[in-house]
Amino acid sequence: MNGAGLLAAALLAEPAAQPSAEPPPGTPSEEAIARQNTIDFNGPRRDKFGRPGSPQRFAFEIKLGPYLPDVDRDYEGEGYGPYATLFGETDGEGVVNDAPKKAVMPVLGFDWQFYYVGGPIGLGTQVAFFRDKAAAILTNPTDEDETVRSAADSVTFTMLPVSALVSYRFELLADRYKVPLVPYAEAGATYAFWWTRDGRRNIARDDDGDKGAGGVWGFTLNAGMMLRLDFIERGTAKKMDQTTGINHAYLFGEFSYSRLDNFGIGNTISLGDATWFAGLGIEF
Amino acid sequence: MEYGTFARAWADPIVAGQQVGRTRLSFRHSPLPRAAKSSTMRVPESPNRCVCSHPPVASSLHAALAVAMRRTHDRLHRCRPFVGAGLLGALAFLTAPLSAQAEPPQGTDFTIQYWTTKADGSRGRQMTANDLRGYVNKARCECGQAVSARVRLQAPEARDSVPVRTYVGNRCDDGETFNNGQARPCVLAVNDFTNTYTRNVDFEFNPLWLATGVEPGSPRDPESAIAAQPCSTQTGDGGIWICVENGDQTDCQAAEFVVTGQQTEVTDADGNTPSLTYDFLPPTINATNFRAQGGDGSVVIKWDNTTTSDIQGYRALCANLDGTPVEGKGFNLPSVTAQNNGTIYYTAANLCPEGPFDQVDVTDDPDPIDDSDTGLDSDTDTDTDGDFGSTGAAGLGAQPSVAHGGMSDCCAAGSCSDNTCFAAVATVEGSCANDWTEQCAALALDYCEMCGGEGNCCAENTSPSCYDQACTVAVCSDDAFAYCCADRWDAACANRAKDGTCDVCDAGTTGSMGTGTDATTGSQADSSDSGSGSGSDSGSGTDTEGLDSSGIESLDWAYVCSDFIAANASTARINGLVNDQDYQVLLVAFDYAGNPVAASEVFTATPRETTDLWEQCDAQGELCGKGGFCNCTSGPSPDGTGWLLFTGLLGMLARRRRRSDARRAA
Repeated sequence: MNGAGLLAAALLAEPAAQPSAEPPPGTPSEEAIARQNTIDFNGPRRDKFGRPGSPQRFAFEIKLGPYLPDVDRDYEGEGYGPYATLFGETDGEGVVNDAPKKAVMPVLGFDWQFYYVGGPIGLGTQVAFFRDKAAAILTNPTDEDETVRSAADSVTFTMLPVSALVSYRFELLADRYKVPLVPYAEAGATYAFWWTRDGRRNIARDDDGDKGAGGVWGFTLNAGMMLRLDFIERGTAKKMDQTTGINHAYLFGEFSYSRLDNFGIGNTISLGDATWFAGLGIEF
Repeated sequence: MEYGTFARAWADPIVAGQQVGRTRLSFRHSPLPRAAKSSTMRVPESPNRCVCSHPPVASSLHAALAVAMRRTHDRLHRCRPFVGAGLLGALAFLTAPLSAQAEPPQGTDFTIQYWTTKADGSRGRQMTANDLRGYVNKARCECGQAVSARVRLQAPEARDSVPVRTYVGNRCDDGETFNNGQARPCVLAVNDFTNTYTRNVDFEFNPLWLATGVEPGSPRDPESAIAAQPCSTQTGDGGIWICVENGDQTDCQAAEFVVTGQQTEVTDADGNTPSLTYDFLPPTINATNFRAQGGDGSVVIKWDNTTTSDIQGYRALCANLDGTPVEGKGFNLPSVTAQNNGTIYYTAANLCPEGPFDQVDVTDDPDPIDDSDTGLDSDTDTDTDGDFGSTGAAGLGAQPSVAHGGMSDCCAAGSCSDNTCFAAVATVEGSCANDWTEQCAALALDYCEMCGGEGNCCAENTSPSCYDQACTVAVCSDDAFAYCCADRWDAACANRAKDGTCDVCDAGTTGSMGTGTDATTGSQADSSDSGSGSGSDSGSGTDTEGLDSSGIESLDWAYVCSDFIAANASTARINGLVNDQDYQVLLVAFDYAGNPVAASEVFTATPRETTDLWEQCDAQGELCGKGGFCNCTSGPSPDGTGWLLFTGLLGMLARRRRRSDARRAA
């Protein structure tokens, strides 16, 4: 084809090749296309620390574990200390024949995760509740009494430890290499409110009129391992993150050591214990 | 009013005269002083019923003429300035077509309000929805504490002047027509013409009239009517019934009742309009296994609360062994007009310690409601006794006391044809509604008068004698206790029955104190006994012979030792008692209306000092330290490792933070 022929063909073909002024219906606008282009289709969504998924700032956990305040820690006499005397295992006559059993203590915890260094560092709090109850002891039992315990009265001991904790969870392996285990540790100060009630359901008082209620300072150390449950169904975990903002769910167990005796200052009650907890947690 | 009716009113002294005169006698000026008879009517806005005045300006000329006419007829001889009745009749005749356009009053034209009354008989507060549901209880009935009522006609347009009769009771339509053998005519509180109701018509009535009608043959007005039944175990809805005569018959027919006892102006929070409820039946005790235990300065009553009933709550009562109230315990008597809200109870002895405010004569007929009576009396429609408005009763006037052939069928297993008895027993034991067993018959002994008695022989009750004939004879044969059969089976009679005189009091009870149940709780005591047993426990409570439990069994508020205890509770604690001292204790249950019943037996229990943790710590060398929320001022204890550990932890954190800051700065 010569040059004139090519020109003529181009002129003839131009009207057909030229786009119309109005785009056909259903065509995305340029703004929409621009917005779409901000989505990274090449990899998962990540927060500012490079973790996949939605931003992760908080953690919430609920855990249960056996607990027994170490009230009798300093008791060195024969038999049982005062706490065991009241709340210990008893025989048919109400006499203590074994140490008290631990009671289940529920704990609620909340963390604000403010920094990430191979895992989130958080500041948090946890609140626990413990209560023990036993039949009151008859002060002056007689031979006619079948038991040394009162059938009408029960006494209780209650404590409510509130902790401020610094936490660290090593999530690097779980985030980058999909290892579902997250070791963690928490440490902080604890203030435990406590009170004990007498058989009349009043706050107990001694002969001097001092109330059997107060609070003691102490510290709490927790260390444990969390099992990130995302591996069970990763698709579901991602979907939950997208729809609810919950990044991860955990099943965890921990060892907990608390020393609640006012750091040994003054003559105070001792409420600490070394025990374990298990629970469920989420990060969001 | 149709002319025919008007003419009959004129010609019939019953309609036009006698009842008007009766009504006039009961009118009073307001405020009403404490009435010797509370069942009176007053029209405060009507200063005088003087018939010498000109007739009132009525909504229609015809109505005015009708009123003037009946007054004239009543006191014609004292109305010299007034024109003669014949002239009035002629005028009425001439104006009859004009007034025939007015309609008779409708039920919705009437507003009805109820008030409480104080001890002096004066009007208290207007009843609230709670009052309507729970104010009228057995104690108020026994004390005759009147209910004050106000009826007013507030029609949007003029109403025909016709006889309007106001009754108090329940099923007044049945009672008037007497087409049901279970019904008695209601007491007639107001009988006047429409115009009178355009003003406030105030009257008071004994609460008994809500539950029962008048004995056949007795007058119908509240002041002199004879009640067919005493305050017993009735429950139901009563109130004001209004009959607007249509002129077809001289007495009220069922269709003429435009207000049927349910009408009040009060609505509750849910928008419901409660009617005036009467409840004379104490609650059923379904709880079992009552036991009393001594605590530290306290006594605890425990029970197994397995099923629900109409119990609204409990109070625990306590007394010294000698029967006297415990010092520092007890409550002031509830106010006569207190709104109980289900938290207090009333006994007649507490409500009216000086005697009833008002009394209603009650028939001596042991079975005033005759099951076999069809209520159809050939004399009923004749009404020749001139007793307007009481035709039904007049018809039976020849037989003022309906004889009963013998014990009711309710008193034996099989069936029960007495509605009142049936309802009372079925309320206590629901299965009796389906099958009238021996148990139901036994309950009838307690709850039904026709079964020979109305009270437990082993507890105080308000009726003379008790249901067990042998026991009644045994007790009353002693001259010192003859009054038990003549007057009232009081606590002394019950104690006499319990001291071995009556076998019936030995059965079904546990412990020597196990008979301290109210007359209405015989069956409940049985149910309690049939459970796991009741009694004191763990040696801290004991049954003691020879106690005077009459005081605590009276349920007097001087013995109340606890606050209100909810119905779903299973324990009650009486605090403030002295250790190592014996006490009598009793649990009282009551319903919303405040009808009490002894739920448990009378127990004895002894408070025992107990030791708590704090005292135990103190006893073992202050091992628990000192209480308080900031016990940090003492020097460190020898064991300061905790403090050192925490300080070290904080130091490590601080050091790490400094290093981090330094790196960031670099």
